[in-house]
Amino acid sequence: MDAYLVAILTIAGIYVILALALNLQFGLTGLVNFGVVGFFGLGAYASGIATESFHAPFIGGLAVAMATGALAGAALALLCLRLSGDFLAIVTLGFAETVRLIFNNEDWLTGGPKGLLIMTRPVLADFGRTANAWMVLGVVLTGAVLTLALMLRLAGTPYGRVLRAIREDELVPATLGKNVFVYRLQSFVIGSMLMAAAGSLYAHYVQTITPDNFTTPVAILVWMSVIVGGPGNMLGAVVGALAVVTIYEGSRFLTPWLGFLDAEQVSALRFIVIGTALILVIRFRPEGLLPEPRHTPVVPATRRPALKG
Amino acid sequence: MTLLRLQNLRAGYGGGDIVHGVDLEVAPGEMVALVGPNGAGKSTLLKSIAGVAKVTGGTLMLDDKDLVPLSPAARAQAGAAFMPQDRNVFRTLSVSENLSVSAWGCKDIAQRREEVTALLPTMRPYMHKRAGGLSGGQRQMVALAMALMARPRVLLVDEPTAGLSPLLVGEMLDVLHQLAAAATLGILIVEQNARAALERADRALVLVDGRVVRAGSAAVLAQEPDFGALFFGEAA
Amino acid sequence: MQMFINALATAAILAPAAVAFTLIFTLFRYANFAAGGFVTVGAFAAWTLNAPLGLPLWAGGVGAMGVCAGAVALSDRVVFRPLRGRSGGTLLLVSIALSFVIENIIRFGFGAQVKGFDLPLTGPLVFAGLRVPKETLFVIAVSLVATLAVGALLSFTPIGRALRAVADNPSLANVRGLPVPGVEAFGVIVAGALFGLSGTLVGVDLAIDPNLNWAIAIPVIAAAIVGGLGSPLGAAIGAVVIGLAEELTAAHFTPTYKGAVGFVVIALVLLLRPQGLLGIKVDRK
Repeated sequence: MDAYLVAILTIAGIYVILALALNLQFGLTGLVNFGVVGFFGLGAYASGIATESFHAPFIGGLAVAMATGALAGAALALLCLRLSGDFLAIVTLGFAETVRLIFNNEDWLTGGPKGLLIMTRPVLADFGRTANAWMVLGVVLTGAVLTLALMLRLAGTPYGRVLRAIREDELVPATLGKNVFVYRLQSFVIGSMLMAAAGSLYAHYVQTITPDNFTTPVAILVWMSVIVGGPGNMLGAVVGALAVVTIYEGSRFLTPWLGFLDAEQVSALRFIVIGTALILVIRFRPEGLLPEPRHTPVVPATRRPALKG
Repeated sequence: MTLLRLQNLRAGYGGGDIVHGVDLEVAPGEMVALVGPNGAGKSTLLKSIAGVAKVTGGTLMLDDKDLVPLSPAARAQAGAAFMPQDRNVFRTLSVSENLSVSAWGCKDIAQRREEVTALLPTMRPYMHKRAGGLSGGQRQMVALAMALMARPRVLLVDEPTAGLSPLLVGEMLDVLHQLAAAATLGILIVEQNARAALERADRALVLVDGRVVRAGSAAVLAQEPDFGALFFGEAA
Repeated sequence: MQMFINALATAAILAPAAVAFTLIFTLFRYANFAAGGFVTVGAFAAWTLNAPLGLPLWAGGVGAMGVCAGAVALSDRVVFRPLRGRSGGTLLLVSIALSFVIENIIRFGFGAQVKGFDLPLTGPLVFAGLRVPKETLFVIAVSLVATLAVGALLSFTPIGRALRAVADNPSLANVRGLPVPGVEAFGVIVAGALFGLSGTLVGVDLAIDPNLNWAIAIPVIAAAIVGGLGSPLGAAIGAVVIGLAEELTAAHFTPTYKGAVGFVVIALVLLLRPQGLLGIKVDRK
């Protein structure tokens, strides 16, 4: 039981980081990024390749992952950030799918469908299974806490206010002299960098990754975390991620009750419930569990005309 | 015999009332102009008759039929055709298609198109052009023709000359005046160009802050010495 | 030349769904990602009528069109209509979730095994050095007829005109006496029937399984975007373009990357010429 709890908390921690990153992009800045699993996967593979093929330590792998995520995010953003919401979503979705196809196809690099085996773990030394598991959990939770702290910082400061203003109406911040595109770019890149970091943590936790780990259902779970938790509210994203992981993992326990269904069907049923829940939340409580906290509105500094002496 | 009758009509868009109790009548064959300063509520009044703005009080009758419970489409069927100020043609359809689609559910669409084109013959050269490619004046003609396709009893026209050159302003108002007489149509027109409207209309109402401050024969009103003052509520 | 035939076959499968997608986009102003889901519903409906229930294929196809029309109408009423005022991004997110739910409902009901229609085996036609399976010709022919029929419906009939008018300016349509809700319902049903047709055609040429959802959603959307959102003719042409692009990719790179073609095309079009080939500038939310 204990080991299972550690496992769930580790996964939850990773989803918390993903949700926080998406919340920065969508919740604060209004960018509909469906490429979550693309960056997640890039981080995972980049970190794995760095540590396995180039014998970097875990930290090196993490750094490589974050760099890859930031670069990919920047490239994608430069290309298509100017697109409107629905089309940005489609293109980012395409990015994730294409990345996954590349993972599958270029098996000389990634091991293809068979997967990539990762021996390196974020542990000090091998103290046995349980201790290792706790160590990994510790690293993941540290990452989650750091991310949360960073996000709270960003959200609470004038930077966050600008992002929110951009989300509501581009024209107003633009007329106040803010370079809207740069703000969006920064938001997107920070987000994608964090998603890649989560990927690195994930890869070194599960130790075998295949392209099938980075498919749409994962993206839907992350989106659910943000929407259910409350878009724009960082604590909400944490709550949302915890709730979604609990429901998703918890529903495994229903399997004995659903003995009349086969494994395929139970899996499908869980996805049906998740997808429907997402639609229902969007319909009936789009502000999520923890609505966005009201911040004082940005008041442009009034300029007094220079007094003639 | 009154076609359109408003009694103590109040209307708005769901916030407060913009029109505060207006009495108005339009008879068949006459053109009545609604003039007044900006923000007086002229368009709102017209839109409330069309069903686009909300009637909050008073009565609104067309041929002794109560219009208030009817939707805009139903009011169109009942004989009150509304010509909006802008976005008043289907830009992706041809002129001919615009007309056909405005006679939805009618059996004699081709015949009606002929009738309307006879009334507004300047449209003939561009019948098959895409409505979005027309000039402002041409578009207004098409919008008017579309409203006429339903063989309305009363035509509600919202600032048809906005954005048109002075020459076209005169032409448009002349066409409307002729239509009223020829087709025994009642026309209620909101017009910013007060002088031009009063020269062609039979009667007129001056609306200020949602209330009628003057009503009567257009010719008499046009002679009024302090006509401009009316607009600012200075004359009683 | 063989490649060209294959491209046409792909285009034939995509075209009806692409037209349906563009219809929904012009009428309701959002990108309905559940297109893939509806096509899958069509495929499975046709299969259910054909294989276990033993009906001939054409009956299965007609049934599929009916089932899909119902599915699209139901989802519009239950899922999309209540969310009408929301942003395009929200609606897209909901449609992605919906397509996800539909795919898994099908997986729940039918399992993940690949299925095929119960068709008599016929040999391919061989001419001019080409081998063309009869099924492929059938698919191309049916798709062509259907697309032309829908085009004629939109261009020459009163209801088609009304649909174009409502898509152009719904509030003006209302004021001019058009029964807007009825016209929208008609549009939904036509779109649904087209999705059903695509689903049936997919089953003839390819395999039927729940993963169809993803595999087909992107090429369909790409075809509609390339052709220009708002133009059914454009959607049909777009389908041919995508078919060709996929064949070329399979030939010059590996077939695995066929799935990426749609996305790359979408990205290119949106960046270089957002209105596509024949599209009109539409205000989007």
